[in-house]
Amino acid sequence: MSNEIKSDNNRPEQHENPEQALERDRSSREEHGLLKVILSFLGSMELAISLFVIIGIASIIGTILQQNQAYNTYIVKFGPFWFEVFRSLELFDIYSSWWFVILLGFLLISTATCIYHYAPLIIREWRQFRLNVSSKSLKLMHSTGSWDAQTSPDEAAQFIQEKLANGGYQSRIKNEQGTITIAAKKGAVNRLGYLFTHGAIIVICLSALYDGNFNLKLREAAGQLKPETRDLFASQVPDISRLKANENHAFRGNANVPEGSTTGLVFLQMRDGFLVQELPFTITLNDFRIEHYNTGMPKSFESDIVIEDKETGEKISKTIEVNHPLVYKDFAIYQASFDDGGSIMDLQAWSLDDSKQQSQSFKQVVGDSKKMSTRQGEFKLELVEFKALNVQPNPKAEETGRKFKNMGPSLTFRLRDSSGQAKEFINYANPTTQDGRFFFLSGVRSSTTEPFQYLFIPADDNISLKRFFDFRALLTNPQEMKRISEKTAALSFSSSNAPEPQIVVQMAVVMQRLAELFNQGGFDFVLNDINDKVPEDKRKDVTESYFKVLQTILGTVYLEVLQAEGVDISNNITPAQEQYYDDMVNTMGIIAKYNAPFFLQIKSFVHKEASGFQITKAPGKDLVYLGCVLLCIGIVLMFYVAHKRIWVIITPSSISGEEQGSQLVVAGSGDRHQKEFAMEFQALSQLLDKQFSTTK
Amino acid sequence: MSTSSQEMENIFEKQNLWRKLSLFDWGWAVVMLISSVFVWQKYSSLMDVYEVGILFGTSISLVAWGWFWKPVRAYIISVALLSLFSIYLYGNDLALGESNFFLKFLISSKSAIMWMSALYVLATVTYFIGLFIGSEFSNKTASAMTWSATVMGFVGLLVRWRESYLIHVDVGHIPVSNLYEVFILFSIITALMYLYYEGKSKTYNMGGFVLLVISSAVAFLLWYGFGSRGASEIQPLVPALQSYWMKIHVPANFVGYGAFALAAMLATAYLIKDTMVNQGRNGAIVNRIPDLEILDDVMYKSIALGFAFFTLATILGAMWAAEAWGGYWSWDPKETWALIVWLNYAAWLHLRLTKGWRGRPLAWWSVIGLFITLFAFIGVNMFLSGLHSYGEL
Ligand code: HEM
Repeated sequence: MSNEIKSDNNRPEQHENPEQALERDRSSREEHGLLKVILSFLGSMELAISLFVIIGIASIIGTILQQNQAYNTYIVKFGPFWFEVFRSLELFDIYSSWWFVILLGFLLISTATCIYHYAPLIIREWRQFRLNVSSKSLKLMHSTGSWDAQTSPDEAAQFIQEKLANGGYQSRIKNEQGTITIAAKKGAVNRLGYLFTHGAIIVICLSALYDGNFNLKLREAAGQLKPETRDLFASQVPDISRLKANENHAFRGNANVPEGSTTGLVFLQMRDGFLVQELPFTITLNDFRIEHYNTGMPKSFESDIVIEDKETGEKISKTIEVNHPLVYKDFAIYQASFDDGGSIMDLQAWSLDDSKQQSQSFKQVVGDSKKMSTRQGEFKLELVEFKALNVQPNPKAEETGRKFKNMGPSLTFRLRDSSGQAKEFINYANPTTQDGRFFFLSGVRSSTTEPFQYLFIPADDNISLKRFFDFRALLTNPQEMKRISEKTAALSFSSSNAPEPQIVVQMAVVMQRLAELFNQGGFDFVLNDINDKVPEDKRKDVTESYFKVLQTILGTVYLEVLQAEGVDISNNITPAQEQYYDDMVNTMGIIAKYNAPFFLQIKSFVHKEASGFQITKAPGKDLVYLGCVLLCIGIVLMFYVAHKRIWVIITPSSISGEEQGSQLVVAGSGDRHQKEFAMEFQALSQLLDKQFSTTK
Repeated sequence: MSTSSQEMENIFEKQNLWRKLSLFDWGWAVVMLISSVFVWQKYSSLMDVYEVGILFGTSISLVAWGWFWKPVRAYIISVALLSLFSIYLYGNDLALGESNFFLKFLISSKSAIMWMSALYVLATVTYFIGLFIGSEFSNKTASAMTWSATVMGFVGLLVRWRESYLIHVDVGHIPVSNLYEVFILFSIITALMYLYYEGKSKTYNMGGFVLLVISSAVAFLLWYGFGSRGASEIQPLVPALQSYWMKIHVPANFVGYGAFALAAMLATAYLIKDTMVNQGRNGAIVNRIPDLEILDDVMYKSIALGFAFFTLATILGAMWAAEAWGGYWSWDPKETWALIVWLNYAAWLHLRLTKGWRGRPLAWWSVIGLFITLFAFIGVNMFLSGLHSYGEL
């Protein structure tokens, strides 16, 4: 098959006059030698289709290999060797890589060449009526017919022109020595569709290239720009990584602005580094609000911002939200994300291993870190994230009829020991209820890929942690424990059979040691100790009596704690206090697994949010849209406007010697719409049948 | 052919559109206009100028659609009546969906979708029976089932729209926001396009092939929507999706997907027939499949329609992205795959139009095209992550 626009041979081209042939030659442009070869390569359909396929495949690679991740992620994933290979092929940022841009460039050139080749032809097809046809060529066409008329050629021509006009055809007429030629066409704008679609591709590609970061890459290649890869403050970034406000290039950058703060800069990511883009205005975030559905999913987030032009001082206030950006001059400011803007946490660290429960109260900003000295050594406390709201599926949805419940504010933090190992914790500010009792909740995990394991610390009568940590502190204090053990041991023997003092002392020692073991690792430690030291046959008895002893001493410690609190324990303790004791002992049993030097309680907080803005400038955008409109119009013209032509040649004929009659040859073609045209031609034939008589 | 051209009025006679319209056509226009005026009277206080424009624009488009394709009028009326009945039954109480007989078994969104699913599957089988035994009755039954399924599907979507508002005004949104919903949309759009073709070409024998792809969509729908994933539950919209653009971007996309699917199924029929004929197996069944030339032609028209809508949808998507994400093109996987699909069909069209390709190679190409389209449609959500994070599997 030929690479010609016209692949149907239904057209009477063979019989054009020399003039037209000349014009045709001229329109195929004068190209010679090498240039001709190059142009025909660039304009070839083979190249165009190969480009479609290659660009398609390259795009697929870009969707499979996640783009623009941190380089470290790639190194971990592919190893240093492949990382290097991929990096040099620019596979981590395919769509702005040199080779991809060059591919797009080729598509552009190919389309342009194609237009250059065909435009003259197309325009002629659109404009011209083609009056130069011969009846011989008409009779060769697919849809054709001949009629004899009793009327003069002029009358016949008038009749036909009228009918053609009814059918929506425009026509031109030519009278050459009595022979009348009518050339009619309909839907010729179809041909313009080609120019529109392909022109649109050029417009879109060019403006999109301009809006991409191609020109920054050029400047980088010329050594005028260098992405900054160090972790610096914006103010420390050197000039070579800065872009001035008055340069007219496209960009897409991000800025995180805490409530109450102002910025005049955005960061543009570029491979593994960034550039600092200065803006001609400043953005101040007055307030950030987020609303949630009752599922906890964000429903909307919005920012009240004020921008102030650095030159004119003009100020504009607006609330922006997702899908509703602020457009200022060539710039658009989008609500992209949100983050913590440095909330201030009022914290208390309750020691888990120190006998003196000195109140370690301090304030710390989310995002900051702080040195903490504990008995287990020095730790770095890093506050990672604060969330004001934590909605989770309600495990009791059936009973309460509420599918979700809000767990309240939470703080995620890490504790990093001197060797750099970190554990992550999530602590909730408000106690949660379980079976009507309150517990403070803290999750722990040793890597971010694991799920959290939770520690429930019971809240005392004042919904505080004090009782629990008093108990813990007492257990941790050897002198106090010695005293309490001795007291308990003495009391545990009824006065009737007072034992020898030696046994009481021994008993006290056992008690203290068991309590110590328990403090370190709960009942598990005690059991392990028994398993280690007691022969198997006696274990059961020993375990039983040890646990009895342990319960006694723990009970006494608990009573001391209550007493110190000022609780009246002269009668019996209340069931609630008893329950508290059980919960506390359970929790103590697993605290070893929690394995942290302290428990961090959120006493209060000042929530401060930050809004993530995306700020963009795309000078080519309107042109892209123009291209899109052209593309749509072009496609509709090409697909849905049928280009049809009809020719009629009327030659005078003499009927019965005197009267003037005429002979008609009618033919036509429907280009891409042969079937529809055949029907239309049939309709025309019917009319002609009625009016004239068919020849042969 | 000759019969149809006689029925058709001669375009070369002096005449105009209005004369061609029957009393029915005018009745249709009056019904549409009266309904929209009624709606406007009742709700104009709640509507902004765009919405009034959309209301009357829709009604005019429906008039035109009904004139262009007459059977669609009965379709639109059935959908409207059933949906209104369902909405009326619901009143303001979503719980009625579980207790009211009609809602529970017929026209709550879930039941309607179930009916749709069952009818599509039955229609597929019935069409194939029609093809194999050559029974006209069977064919007509299948066609009626397809129409009914398509009614139920659309009713299901409209009622779901209402149900979402009954859950809570904040939750209410047009049901084209997750894979469950768009699969329903895909099924009914593909079916409507097929029904148009069936009515125009007066051949029922492609039904089985086209409905096969719809039945697969239904299978996916049931697994995804009612299986362990429970995607048939109505979820509120994330902020990025709360936009007018969604209402036009998504349906336009699905006209494209539907047309490509239709083309691929016609191509399948083409390949089967061609292969059988080449092997000399000229049985009655093979003969019932329409002529290769016709299949080829309809396949082209379908791809052309798909290409036009897909282009439009992609452009709308770009405009939406420019408003929501800060750039009309971000090389997000979904966008990129839309480009790949688009390039694929652009290549197809060029091969056909400029290189004159026809027949088998292009038929194969459009079958492969369906897989590329499917990947863009669900594969991206399943395997790749990006900004289009709705409806993850
Ligand atoms: C991304 C780039 C391109 C796109 C999106 C595109 C799109 C189209 C479309 C939609 C059609 C209409 C098909 C129809 O009428 O049904 C078409 C036709 C055509 N294209 Fe392209 N095209 C592109 C590039 C090219 C290139 C590079 C060439 C030159 C080799 C080319 C040559 C043609 C020709 C010759 C036609 C037939 C025109 C006619 O006879 O009406 N196209 N193109």
